Amino acid sequence: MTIESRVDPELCIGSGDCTRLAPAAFQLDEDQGVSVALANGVAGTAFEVLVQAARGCPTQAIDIVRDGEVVYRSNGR
Amino acid sequence: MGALLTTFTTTIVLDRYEDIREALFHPELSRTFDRRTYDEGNIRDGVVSTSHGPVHRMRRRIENSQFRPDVLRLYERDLFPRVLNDLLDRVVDGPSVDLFAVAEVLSVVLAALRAGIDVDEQDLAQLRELVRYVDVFSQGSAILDARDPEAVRRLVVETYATFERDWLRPSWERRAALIERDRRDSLGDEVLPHDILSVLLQHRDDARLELADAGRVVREVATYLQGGTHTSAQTMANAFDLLFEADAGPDQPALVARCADDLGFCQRVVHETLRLRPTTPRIRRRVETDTVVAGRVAPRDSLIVLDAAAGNRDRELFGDDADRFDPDRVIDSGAPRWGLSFGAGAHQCPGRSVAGGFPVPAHADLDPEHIFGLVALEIREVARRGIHPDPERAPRRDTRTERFTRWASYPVRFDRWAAPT
Repeated sequence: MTIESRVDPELCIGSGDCTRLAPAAFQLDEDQGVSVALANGVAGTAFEVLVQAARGCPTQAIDIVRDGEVVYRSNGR
Repeated sequence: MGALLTTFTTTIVLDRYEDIREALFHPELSRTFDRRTYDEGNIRDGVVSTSHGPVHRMRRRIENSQFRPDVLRLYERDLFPRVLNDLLDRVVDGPSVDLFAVAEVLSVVLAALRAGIDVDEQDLAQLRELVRYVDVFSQGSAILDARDPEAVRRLVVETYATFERDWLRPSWERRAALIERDRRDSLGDEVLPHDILSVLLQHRDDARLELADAGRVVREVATYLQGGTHTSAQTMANAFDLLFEADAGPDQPALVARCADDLGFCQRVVHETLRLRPTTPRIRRRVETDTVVAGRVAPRDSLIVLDAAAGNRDRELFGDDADRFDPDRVIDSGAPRWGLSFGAGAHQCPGRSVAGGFPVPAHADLDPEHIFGLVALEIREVARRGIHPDPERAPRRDTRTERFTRWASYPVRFDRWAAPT
């Protein structure tokens, strides 16, 4: 199973909720004030935790893709 | 309610937790009620909590930098403990005091620091003056529930003027000079205060933030000062109201005594209090474009009323005894212990972790870096001083608002108090 994630930088408000829930998968870019997904960290984080982070994202800025299929889609698209 | 509200195409009331949560995340629902109806002298014009879309996200990005875990730890473990007991010694100066007034003074110190208002934390007269400003701004923040909205609007407009002159401008000028020096001499981040006013001034040249109007900076800082003070103070009064009620019940669980020894329990008390007594019991949203909300067709300019007080007692998520005050409640549904009381979605309360700390896991130990929240710290220290109800003076609700969770005064007695010096 391959898991990927992406944070929409236009939607993200840098709340830091995802980095607190899944610190290996997401990191704050303080220059831009937004969160970014870390490919290796995403792969090493439990799928349920990633979904929890995406569901809890205040602006629904996180996509979760499992085996090529979008299983959680951000509000951006 | 008269002139402050528009005529809505329809009104939809949601009272189930998941429906309310869906509405709070809905991108087509906004908090901008004011735009068309009282542009002139709008007391919330341009404030982040009522803005929408790209400008809202831009503003939150820069302001959220002030709510990072390292900053929270600095406040919770260093700055606040240093002032908390000293202040308590001075405000608990007799066997009977008003708990709400005590809580306001404790909370305004940190709220001022975070907002960017320079105050002498040793000067009780200064702190109490700031609390008077907070009281006015709190009426403004709840204007949609005010019994006399026009009177509130006039009072808030007048108060912004003196707040700007006496408090905000001196703080603004000091920060502006530091920012100027930093740009010239690269002083480094540590020289600039960690507060909302500083980040607003640092980024004010960015047109996307829509901060060219100085009044917006005034209102934004006032909003953080008010939010950081009033919600915390009301939550502390509500917490002890619920604790006293439980301790006086047939089981006499001695919950106040537990608070004195257990910070984790204090935090659960805060969360359970917020669930049962949300600061904003009914949240309102306006529909920006025709859409569907929680399965209901919602035409543009519909009013969506979100009954958070009811949603927080949803039995499917909080159990069959959801109406009962139980800080030891186990919540397996994944819902936060505070329910919807900090909001959710793009407009969730930015100071949530300051006041309430990090979420408490249902079945896991707390992380060593866990943040308990400042209200929990306040509750523990107040409980250690032997607090109990005042049998001779009853608490009074704030009758200027329809919100049932607001107190005007909450008299209590203390076993241990310091004589005034």
